[in-house]
Amino acid sequence: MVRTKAVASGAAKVRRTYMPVWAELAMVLGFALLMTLPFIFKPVHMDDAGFIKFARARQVNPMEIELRDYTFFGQENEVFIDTHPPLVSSYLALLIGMDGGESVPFMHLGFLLFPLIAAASMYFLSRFFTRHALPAALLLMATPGVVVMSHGYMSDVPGLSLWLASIALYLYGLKRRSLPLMTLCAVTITLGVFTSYQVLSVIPLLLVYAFLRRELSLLAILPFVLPLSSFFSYDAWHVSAVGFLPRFSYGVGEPLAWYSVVQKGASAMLAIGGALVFSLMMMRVLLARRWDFAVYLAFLVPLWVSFLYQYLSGRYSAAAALMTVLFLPLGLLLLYRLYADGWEHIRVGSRDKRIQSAFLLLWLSGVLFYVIILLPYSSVRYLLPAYPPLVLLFVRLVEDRFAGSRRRTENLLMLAVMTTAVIALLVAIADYELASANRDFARGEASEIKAEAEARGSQVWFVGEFGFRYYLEELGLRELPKDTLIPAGDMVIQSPLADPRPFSDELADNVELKQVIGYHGLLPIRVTSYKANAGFYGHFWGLLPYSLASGNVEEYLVYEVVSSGDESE
Amino acid sequence: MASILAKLKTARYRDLAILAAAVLLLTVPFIGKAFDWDDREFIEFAQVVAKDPTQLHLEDLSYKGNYYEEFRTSHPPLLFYYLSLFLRLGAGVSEQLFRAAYLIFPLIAAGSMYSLGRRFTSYPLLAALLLVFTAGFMVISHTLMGDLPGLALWLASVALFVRGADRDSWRILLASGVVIALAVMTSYQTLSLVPLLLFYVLVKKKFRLRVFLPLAIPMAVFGVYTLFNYLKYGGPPVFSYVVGISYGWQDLDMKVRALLVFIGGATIFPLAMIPLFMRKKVDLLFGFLFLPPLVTWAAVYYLGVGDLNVSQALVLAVMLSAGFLVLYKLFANTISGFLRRSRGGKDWTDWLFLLVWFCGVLTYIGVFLPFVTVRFLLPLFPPLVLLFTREVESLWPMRPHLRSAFVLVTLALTLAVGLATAVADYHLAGAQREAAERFGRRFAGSDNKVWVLGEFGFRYYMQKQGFEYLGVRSVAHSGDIVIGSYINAAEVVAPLPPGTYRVISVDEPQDSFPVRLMNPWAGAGFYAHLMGPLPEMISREKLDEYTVYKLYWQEDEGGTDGSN
Repeated sequence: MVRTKAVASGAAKVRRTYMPVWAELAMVLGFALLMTLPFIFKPVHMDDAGFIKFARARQVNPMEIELRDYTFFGQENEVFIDTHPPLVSSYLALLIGMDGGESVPFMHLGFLLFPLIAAASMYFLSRFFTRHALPAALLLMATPGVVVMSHGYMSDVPGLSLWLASIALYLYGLKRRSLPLMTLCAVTITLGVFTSYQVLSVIPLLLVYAFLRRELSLLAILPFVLPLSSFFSYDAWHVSAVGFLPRFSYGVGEPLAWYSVVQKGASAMLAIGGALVFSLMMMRVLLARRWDFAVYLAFLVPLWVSFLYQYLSGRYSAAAALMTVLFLPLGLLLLYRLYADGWEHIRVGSRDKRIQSAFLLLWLSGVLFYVIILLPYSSVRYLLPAYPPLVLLFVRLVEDRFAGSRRRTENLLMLAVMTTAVIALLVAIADYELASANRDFARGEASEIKAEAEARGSQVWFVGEFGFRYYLEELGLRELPKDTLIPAGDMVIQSPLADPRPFSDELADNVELKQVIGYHGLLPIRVTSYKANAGFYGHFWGLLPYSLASGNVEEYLVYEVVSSGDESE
Repeated sequence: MASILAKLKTARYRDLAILAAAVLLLTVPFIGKAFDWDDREFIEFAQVVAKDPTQLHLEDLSYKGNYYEEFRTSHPPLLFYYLSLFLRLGAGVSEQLFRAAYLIFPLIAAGSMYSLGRRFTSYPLLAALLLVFTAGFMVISHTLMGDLPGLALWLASVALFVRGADRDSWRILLASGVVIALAVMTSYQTLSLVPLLLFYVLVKKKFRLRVFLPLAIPMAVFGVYTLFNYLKYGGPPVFSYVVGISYGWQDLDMKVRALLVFIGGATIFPLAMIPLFMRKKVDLLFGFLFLPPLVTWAAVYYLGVGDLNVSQALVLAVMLSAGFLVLYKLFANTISGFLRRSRGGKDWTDWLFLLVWFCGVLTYIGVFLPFVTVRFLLPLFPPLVLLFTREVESLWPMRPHLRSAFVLVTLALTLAVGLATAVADYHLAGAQREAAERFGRRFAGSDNKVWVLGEFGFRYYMQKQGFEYLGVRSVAHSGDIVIGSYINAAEVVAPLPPGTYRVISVDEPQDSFPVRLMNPWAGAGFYAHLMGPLPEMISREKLDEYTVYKLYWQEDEGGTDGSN
């Protein structure tokens, strides 16, 4: 059913065609399913493995927050404490318990809930902030960041979905002065905080929103009481259980060092330029005026020079250098444009527009601040909470820039959705290939290596984390701890992408590389690759969110210990 | 459905008939229930006073790990005399007879609650039915202990006194004085009525001699009873045999937790109380602020130390939250009533009275009583029920159909939990009687002497089979058999010393009915929180564990460890 309604837009009245809410919502949910359902057989990948580990522990003790005698990145830990809040692992434990085993598609099906919540929440948020709610919600669900992260068991998309639901409930609850909505918001924020600690940021953000609206009432602060009280109670319990407060990160690197901040900043800008809206569509929107070109060139020229040098020095492949030069100025330009326009709205806009712009920019700034400054490394998944304000501001930008033609605006937005979705699916397939490589290698060659070694009376070890570790542990292999000498004849399998660490000095002299087993992918796209400078999951693999390369997806290294040092483990 | 609420407001006699029918329907089917817990003590004292009404002690009694040459009762004697009437008339000890004799007490309680409901709420039938349907009321109304009679007379006393004081009627006040005296002779806890009713006089500003006079009657009766004890036994009445009540942090911590959980779990269905008491902004604020730390303190604690599984901890969290909200809401309504008193809020003194009643009972249980049990909590059920009913009055004023639906669902769920718990109690008591009969047949004609290790109903029925209680002064021999019940012995009597026995068999009676109320494996401790932190729980765990031991001395058999 299609209805029409006359709405005021500027001075002129424009006839606007729109679908009923339920139909648009159904479309958004259907689209979210379309982008996720085909991937339910994606093998366990990246930090999924860690969440599953804790889920297993919670099958035995639902309050378990530590793993005993756990080796992580070669470091032996007598007690390894979870750095994530407990909800995702507990939810996984529930799914495993329901299914009676670790069925990958069943767990993926269980996690479909979160993209659906995110899609519905984004739709209602878009209705609040834009005139094009449907394309705005579709665009978020089409971004490579959301699409790829919706295919895992990590806490990022669950966290994003609850973050979005919390904000949507709060905005509508405050507007309607609805106690039930605010109560539901309190529950949602609480669930969000126990899914991802980042969701705590929602509290100051919404508090500022209420302040800006001059509605700081009991109702306005009610939704913050439950999450804060629950979080502090959890902290107290954590202290009583293990003797210290929850750890929010493993504390790797020096997050505040200048070089780290620059790397994280560059990675974040590349992710915004490359893993948000399809670059050419973004370019079409951002480069609509002469001044835009001037700013673009101001960013572009020094970057061209810089990355030509990077390419010539062999640090970057031609494709990676070109993509960097494409994405980075776009990311910077988008932020520049959003802040510049946002400031203009704050300065001269109507009260509503002023509050909305300030709120969205504050949301975006907060996430960028903690990703670039506070977190140990930058990653597309850490940036996910910045995607909704980026998409909403982008849609508002399109609405502003193409205000004269409704059809053009709609077409442009739908084209952005489609092209972005195509890129996202390609990136998701590339990620799927890497995940599959780990599983296939473990069940294929690694299994044969193990059988041969066992026939000789030797043992096989591995070096690497994530999905690689999951599947090799499934095979019954053990991770090689750092500084451990193993007997001659033992084999070591390493996945450089899963942990590139060199052997200890003592062992390095005694091992011999016997075999390199490469896994080739169908697509020339890489999401995690040192060679292609692609670091979708962390900027230490590469600054780009994804890149082009034609080589192997991963090359597994098989070593043999040829002479033994001390015979101790 | 709105008419249902309207009917609940009127037609007093019909209401009373409904109430009586409900009480009888919920008690008569249980009159065959086996004796359990302290029923045995009431029966034994009834038998003694039937012979000599002035003898309020048992001779040569081993009980709960101690030996007493003269075991004086820790209960007031009225119920002993009441039961002894039947014995003096020639009746024998019988479950059906004694339980039928006790039917009068739930009827008095329900009628009195109805009267209080009329005084404090617009829905007296709802208030009375809610009380009768609670798990605590229903289960305890199927026992011979003094708790339910005490509650019945407590309620009758308050109902009469409040009515008499409000109407300034000396006849009603005099009647209340007599009933209070009967109550005091039924349960010492009812002595708290004197300060409570004095408080009512104070807040209602009814300072007249005729109002104070009824309170002198129970004091005089208690004084005479005390004097009798001095003359006969050389000391005041015994209030408790539990020594060394601990006021340490850990015990207090456990008690407060158990109090809140039992209040939330053995009264009105907790999931009805939580939304009702958290429907205003300020209630939500307090709930959101205090419930997470409370749940962490209790449910997460038990889960963390492995005392409860996830489902048990979830149930505990719900019950605890409901218990806390009851307390909070009583305070909140009193304070808000006080703040609104200048704007025509007249009922704040009612709230204050109910609050003092509730907190008074809570305090003496927390401070003076050795452990938390639902039966000790019975006197605080009425203010809780009145609070709930008053809250219902203001629920969804524009949607009476919805309110009626809420009331009906709450009544149904409260009844379902109460009935399920009562059935579970019936089965547990029956299991002890059946076990005793089974062991009676098994060891009939055995050359070995058979001893009983455990108290309560198990002891009663085992002794009835001719087995002897293994007390501290018992002289057992190598080769003797000892039969112990886990539920009836844990935390009550000392286990056999290691190296003196072999386990011959372990009998674990099962029951397909999926509710447990006194079961450490299900986390349920309805009669004592030391058995489990929940009053009742959905579970199919074994009902009990009966262990048959054979005693041996090392020099006889040369064993080193009797644990297998």
